[in-house]
Amino acid sequence: MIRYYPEKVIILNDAVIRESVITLNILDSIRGRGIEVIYLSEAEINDLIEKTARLENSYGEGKKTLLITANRGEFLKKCPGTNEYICCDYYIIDFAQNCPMECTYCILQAYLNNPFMVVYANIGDLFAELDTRLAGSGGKKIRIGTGEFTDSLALEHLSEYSKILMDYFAGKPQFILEFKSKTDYIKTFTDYRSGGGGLDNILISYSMNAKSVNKFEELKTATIEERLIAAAACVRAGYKITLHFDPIIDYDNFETEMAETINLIFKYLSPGDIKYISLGAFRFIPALADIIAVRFPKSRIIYNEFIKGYDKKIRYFRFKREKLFESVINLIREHDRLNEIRLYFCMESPEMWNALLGGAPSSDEQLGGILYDKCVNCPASY
Amino acid sequence: MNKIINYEYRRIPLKDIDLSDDRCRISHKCVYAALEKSIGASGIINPVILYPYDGGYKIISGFKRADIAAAIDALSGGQGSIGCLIAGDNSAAERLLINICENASIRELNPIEISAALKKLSEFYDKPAIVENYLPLINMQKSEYIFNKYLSLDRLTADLKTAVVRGRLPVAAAFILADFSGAGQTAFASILNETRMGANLIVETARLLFETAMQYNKTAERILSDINYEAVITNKDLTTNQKTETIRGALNRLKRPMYESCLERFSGLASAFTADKISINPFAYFEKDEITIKFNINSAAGLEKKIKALNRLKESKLISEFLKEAGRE
Repeated sequence: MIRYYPEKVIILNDAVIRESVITLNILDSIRGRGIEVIYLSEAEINDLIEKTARLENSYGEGKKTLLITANRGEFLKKCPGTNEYICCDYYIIDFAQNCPMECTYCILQAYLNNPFMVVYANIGDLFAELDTRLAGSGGKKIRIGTGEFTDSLALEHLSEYSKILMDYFAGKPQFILEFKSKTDYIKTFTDYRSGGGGLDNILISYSMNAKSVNKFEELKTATIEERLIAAAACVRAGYKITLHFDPIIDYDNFETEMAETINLIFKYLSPGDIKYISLGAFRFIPALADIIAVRFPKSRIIYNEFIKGYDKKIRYFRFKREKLFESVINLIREHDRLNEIRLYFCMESPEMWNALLGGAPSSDEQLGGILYDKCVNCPASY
Repeated sequence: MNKIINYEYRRIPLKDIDLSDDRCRISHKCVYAALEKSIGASGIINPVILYPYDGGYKIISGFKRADIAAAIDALSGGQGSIGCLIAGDNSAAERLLINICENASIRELNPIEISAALKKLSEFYDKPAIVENYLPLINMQKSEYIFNKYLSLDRLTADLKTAVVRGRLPVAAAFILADFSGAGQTAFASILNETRMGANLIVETARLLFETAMQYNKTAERILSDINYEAVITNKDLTTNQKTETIRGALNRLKRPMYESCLERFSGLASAFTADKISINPFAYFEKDEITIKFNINSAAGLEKKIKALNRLKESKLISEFLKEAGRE
């Protein structure tokens, strides 16, 4: 896959940001590529954001600029759930925002109000916040990801942010750190030499989908096979893998293509390599449908048998979701006959858990704990 | 256009004005009853703007006024004249801008006029220039999205354009219909004529049809033909409301086949309790294994009857099919 390089880099003109290792890594990696670098004040940056956001194709245009700035808010956030659907009790490090890849279904299109690619370089503040908040977590089983507001590895070749986070978490083996990606970038992991801690609390995670969804709806991403080759290399380097079938999309030839993808998974990975697989059906806020219709007029994913769920998101009708999930679960279990891989739903109803996964967790925390234990203790099967 | 336009006032015989030339025209040709009545009673008060051309005149602004005056004049022998402002030497782009400015300065342009104005401006300027300079001129936001949306209305059939001008077709529905082929638009127009739907329902139905067509990768006319819409709208036994409900019901069944068949099955089983005056409804979209049971009682004997019916319900297919497992408490 082609790696992202911006046309322009804007750096917040503040000593902390200018001298941050993240900024220096990025400047080092773009040297000699003729990429314009400018230093601007916060007010000038805000003006520019406002102007770019007004452009018709602001979301596409904005990605050509990489903004290195400071996160003035919280770095560590709780993944937002709802009361009615079961969530996996996940935490997120908000280290960057936006993504150079172009998935038609991406919620960031409707969520972000800053069209630029953004990296937060005030890592001193990040680590100070993590120190305080994780110290006060009272033994809670915490899984933290970086792939919520961006792809965890899309800018890794520029910033090496994940490597820096791995160094930090190497000394905190009780917390699990998960990198979720649609790239095939593995240099950080294969080259990684731990400063003492092991790799036991690191999860490398790949998004999986049917071939046509990958081809037509996940533009500028690595192919499924490229991701799996990367995953296999990570396994060889000693890492644990997790996979995410999210969003599962009702597409032409769903069953056949899903079977192909799942066969491919087990061509490169054995069930023992995969700690868990999440399953989430395509869902979206109504505003996203309008954006998809304009930005990707050829995409038909927003036209299907949808209903409005009780989290106000549009989702497939319950029994359609059930049918889609059932196919994927059966296909996975054909390869994983010993149930080594923990399967779970992302934002699904207790009814769905009862119907397909043998019962619903009693709380979000219970599910989070189950997934945590699966990774830390690695029993043969849960 | 910074040039000062000088006009000369003259009365011009209607026969010397080329009414067929519509290079500057942005108004949609249809019957404008209120204007016709006004001109019939008082004549043209605001002069039409013309420019000399090949020994006669062509219109820059005032197409509707000139059309109506000519129609009235034809009834009385065709010898009449109207008061006009004659513009000097202007380029074609300037003449178009005179028309747009003149109309936009005294009233709000309707969506079809905006569409026509954008289409004609596109013959002289590129899209970014129109967005930047001319959208504000017609009180529109500087936005390429808005430009594209309004320009798309040019693809509407003449009938649908007329419906927009007359306020019969909401512009939100017109934007959706603009993506249909001519046949799809014509079919929708005939539904519109035969059902008398209100504005909100028109928009919802247009969207429902569009989404269903996209879902099945078929044209709108094909979807309408699949639901046999012509038989519905020509059925004299149906009221306009029944026609609307029938068409929307058929579209919904196509759009949400699993849900609709589930609902049908549920309603069939629930109907066994209608005689007991017990109303049973599923949770919205069957998203939860939960049903709502409603009944009224006004005596102990009445309660006894309901309990018997509820015992029957407990053993019924409805319960075994729709309350499968216990959910999370």
